[in-house]
Amino acid sequence: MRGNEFLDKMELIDPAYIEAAENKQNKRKNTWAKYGALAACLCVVAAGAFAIYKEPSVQNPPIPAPDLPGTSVTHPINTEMINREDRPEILPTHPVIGPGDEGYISPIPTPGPVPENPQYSFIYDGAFETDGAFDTGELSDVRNMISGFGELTQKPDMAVEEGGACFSDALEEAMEHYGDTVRYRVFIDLYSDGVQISSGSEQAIEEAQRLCDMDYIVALETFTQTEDHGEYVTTNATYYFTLHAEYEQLKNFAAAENLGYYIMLYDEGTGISSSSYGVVFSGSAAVDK
Amino acid sequence: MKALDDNGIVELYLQRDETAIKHTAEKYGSRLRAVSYNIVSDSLTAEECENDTYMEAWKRIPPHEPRTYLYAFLARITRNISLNRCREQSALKRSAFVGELSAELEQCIPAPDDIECRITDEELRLAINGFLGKLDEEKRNIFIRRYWYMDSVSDISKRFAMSESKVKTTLFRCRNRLRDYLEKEGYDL
Repeated sequence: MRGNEFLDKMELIDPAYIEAAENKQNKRKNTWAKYGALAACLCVVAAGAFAIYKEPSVQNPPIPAPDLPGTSVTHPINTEMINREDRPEILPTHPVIGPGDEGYISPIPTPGPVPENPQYSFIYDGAFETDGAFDTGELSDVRNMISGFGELTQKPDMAVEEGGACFSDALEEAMEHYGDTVRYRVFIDLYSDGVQISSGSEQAIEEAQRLCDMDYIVALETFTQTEDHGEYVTTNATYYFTLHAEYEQLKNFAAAENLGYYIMLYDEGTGISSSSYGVVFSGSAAVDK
Repeated sequence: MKALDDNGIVELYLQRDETAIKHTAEKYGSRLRAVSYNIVSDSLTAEECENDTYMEAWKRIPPHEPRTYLYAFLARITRNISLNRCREQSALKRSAFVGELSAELEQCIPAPDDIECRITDEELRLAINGFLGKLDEEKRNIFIRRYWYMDSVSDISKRFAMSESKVKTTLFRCRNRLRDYLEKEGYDL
């Protein structure tokens, strides 16, 4: 049999499938409607915020400053200095503490430690570091992050167009199977102008930073291999662009307009299958053995 | 003219009542024309294929009684006629597209050769539908849009709101899966 005959034989497809394929359409949401709705929401929020901001000045008069001997405040209108005679009742009876006092909590969050090299400040959640916790058990075992699922799948020999993200078969199946109950350790091949770009390139590093800014956990892994050839030594660096992603982060992947992404499970990317169902990393919810 | 349901239309065919064709054209004419146009890409030819479909339906009912699947029954005839027309008339410039689809589907055949299909239509029906039943709904619809309705990759990507790359990847995997399925199940095409 040849392809043209097989094409004819496609007429044997079940009528119910034919009808279903005709009726099914996943139309893109109307962008204008979406942004219109967003704008409307923002207006409502802004109006609400304005109302809340204005309201106290109408219903609640400003709270005067504590009347301590010799204390004065500036009158808001005539800038004239006035002295208060009575301590207003509205003031709390407990002592008021300010910055510098013991127990004072600043409403402004304390900034975290500055990373040593901000350009490479990818978050690498310690809870998910590998410690050799491999699992070859049943699917019912508790897992918190997976890096493989089933057999390694074949990557199609084609570039991914800019703004698009393609998932490997195994990743899609894993997501279907586990949903949002686990994190996914994924490996990404990046494409630009129809060509795969190095994960160690400047563009890839910028992309890693962009995804980090969007709360993705990016791990740009580097492996350096040194070979001693006697007279000379060569050093080759290999870069892995990987994510520890939540289900939703993959499902609604925030692709950049200038890059195409082929996203696969980590085991597929590295070509190492650790077990039939993939490596499981021990973390806060340890593997139940 | 009062609109009839499929059962009523088929009943007219069975009674050899020629108004059956008018009712069919009124209910399904535009959809059948669209199926044909998708294949032949020429309005006039699509119209001819639509008319040929009615004549063919008139010949086939009876003995067939597609009371519950009239549209699919008619569309299958339209597809067949349009595909043949496309192969006959290379002037339609669609033979290249049909050739492209044939080449894609040949990848699904475990051992392609010039001998005609070795298994019966019934066996092949079971094989194809058995495979489609294993696919999830979206992949199945993409596969059918491509190889039954003969949509371009671009049209499929618009219909399912996904990138062309994703459509190509999905089709590539479906074809591989179909070949594996046919091999595993021992179908010798």
